[in-house]
Amino acid sequence: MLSRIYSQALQSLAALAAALLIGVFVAIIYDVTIRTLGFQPPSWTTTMSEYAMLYATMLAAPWLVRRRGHVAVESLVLFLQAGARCWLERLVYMLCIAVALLLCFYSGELALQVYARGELDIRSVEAPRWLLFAVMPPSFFLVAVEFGRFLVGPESYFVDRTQPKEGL
Amino acid sequence: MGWETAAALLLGSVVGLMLVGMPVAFAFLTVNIVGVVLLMGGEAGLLQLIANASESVTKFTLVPVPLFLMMGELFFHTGLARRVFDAFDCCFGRVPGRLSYVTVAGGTAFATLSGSSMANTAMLGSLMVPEMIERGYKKHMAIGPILGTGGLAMIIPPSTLAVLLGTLARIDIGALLIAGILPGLLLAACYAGLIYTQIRLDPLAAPQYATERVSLGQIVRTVSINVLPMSLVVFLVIGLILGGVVTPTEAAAFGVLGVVILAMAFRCLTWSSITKSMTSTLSVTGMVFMIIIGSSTFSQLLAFSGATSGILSMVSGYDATPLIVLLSMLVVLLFLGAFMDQVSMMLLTLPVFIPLAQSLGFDLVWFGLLMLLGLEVSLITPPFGLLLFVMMGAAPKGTTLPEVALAGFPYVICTLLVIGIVVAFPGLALYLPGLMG
Repeated sequence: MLSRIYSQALQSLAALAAALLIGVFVAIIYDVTIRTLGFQPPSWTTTMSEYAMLYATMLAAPWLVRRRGHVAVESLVLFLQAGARCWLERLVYMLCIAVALLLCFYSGELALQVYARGELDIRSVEAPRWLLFAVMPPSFFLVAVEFGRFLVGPESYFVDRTQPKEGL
Repeated sequence: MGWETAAALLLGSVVGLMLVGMPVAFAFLTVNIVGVVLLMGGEAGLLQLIANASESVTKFTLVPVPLFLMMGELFFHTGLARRVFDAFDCCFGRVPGRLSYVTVAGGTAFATLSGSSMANTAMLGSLMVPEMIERGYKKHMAIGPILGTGGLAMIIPPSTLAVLLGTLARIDIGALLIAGILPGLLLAACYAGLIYTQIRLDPLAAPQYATERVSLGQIVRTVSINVLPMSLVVFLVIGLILGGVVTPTEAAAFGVLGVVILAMAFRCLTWSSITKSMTSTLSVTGMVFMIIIGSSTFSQLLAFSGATSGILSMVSGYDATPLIVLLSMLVVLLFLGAFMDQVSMMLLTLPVFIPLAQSLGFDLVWFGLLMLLGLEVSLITPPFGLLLFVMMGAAPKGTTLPEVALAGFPYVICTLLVIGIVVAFPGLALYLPGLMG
């Protein structure tokens, strides 16, 4: 039950990220249309689009770990014997968890520091600077949880590379 | 610590972590964390790393990345791509090797509407390979054109990779996108020439088969309905950038709008096609931007440790000609591409390559295009070129990796030839950007 709610939460965050990308598309079309018609274009579209890039990336990050979507060079891992591969995979998961938790902590600290100082991020419109970091702690925490699932669970992050994967 | 040690440790650690299977973004982050603690001083360095990470992707110039991806995905998932292929299929009549030519023509057309070489290859593989094998085409005639044409999406605008390269290397993105048009078309023509030669040498490689006779009227009608409307989208993206009417970001948004309008006109914009397109768009955007976030402090670390300036002094100390340095950089790309994805390669090499290119007085648009061509070659270089594996997924059962790599080899030669031509005649890349308004 708890697992299902958690999975749906990850899906919802990804859906929100996708909605942000659609929002950027709509905002830019709106901006250019208004400008072409000779009206004053809104000043928030640029800043909103810039922030959306960060928020979409961070909101989708845990979902991408679950989908094995963060690109990795699997070649060596897949060639290893089962025992060695298992140990190497565990080492990789633990390193990823450590990195994600460290970034979760320090991004939270930075968000609190700039909030306390009342810093502003000056772009096409002014925004409170803590907004740049606020999305990172929960995102990195969930990324750590997702790598944790690979660490203790039966599934592997590394899959057959002949299966179609997304990329540029 | 000397710059040699710092460079070896920084570059070696990232490559080492990647090789043991750590996701690329996290490999960069791990090295950056250790690097800032050692070189930039503990907690302050870590906070700087976080600040750099958030700044790295909050850039308006990166917005075309998801939009170009969205455009290509919608084009594919709504079935508009299939219509273009069917139209080309109708045009080629009974030409020997028609399906290989259809692959090159359709793949080039798709490249003008999609920014992703992986998507291009996967689509061409799923659409063309089954039919070519059924028609008795030899494997190299089925696989080779797809491997070659798949990579065209990186060169012909809208190229997502060109947007990334432009943003990361601070090259004029509009100019870099437009610079890819002529070399991209030349490459497609070379591929067609290659297919012609292969069929002349071995006519049984692509056996002729009976096709329905199509009248000129039918061809005109099919092309008018299925290809001409797509050119509206190409005009929206390329024409508007070339004319200097809008920025690449705005052109990308209008490109998406164009595909949405077309899909609505053809009544193929379904909820399922939208969700599939958005899922793919988000996956690639999230993956690429996470690597950018991960590597955001890497170039600073290289500069801070003296590695960047050390490498630059070393190269200038060799007294090598600019051409030799350029070729060396391309060789490095080919080597890295054998086991790494293009975004990682760019992020690993740009901190050194761009200052080097500037110090040698290279035009950065020209150099950026050569890098893109080098990246394209590296995608089909064995043993681990990514497109080889995408192709393995679409190839008939029993196809081995050496067979796929061998099928792609003549196309690698074609691309190297075009690289040579662009090096010898920079105008091929720089003529169109020079016309920009």
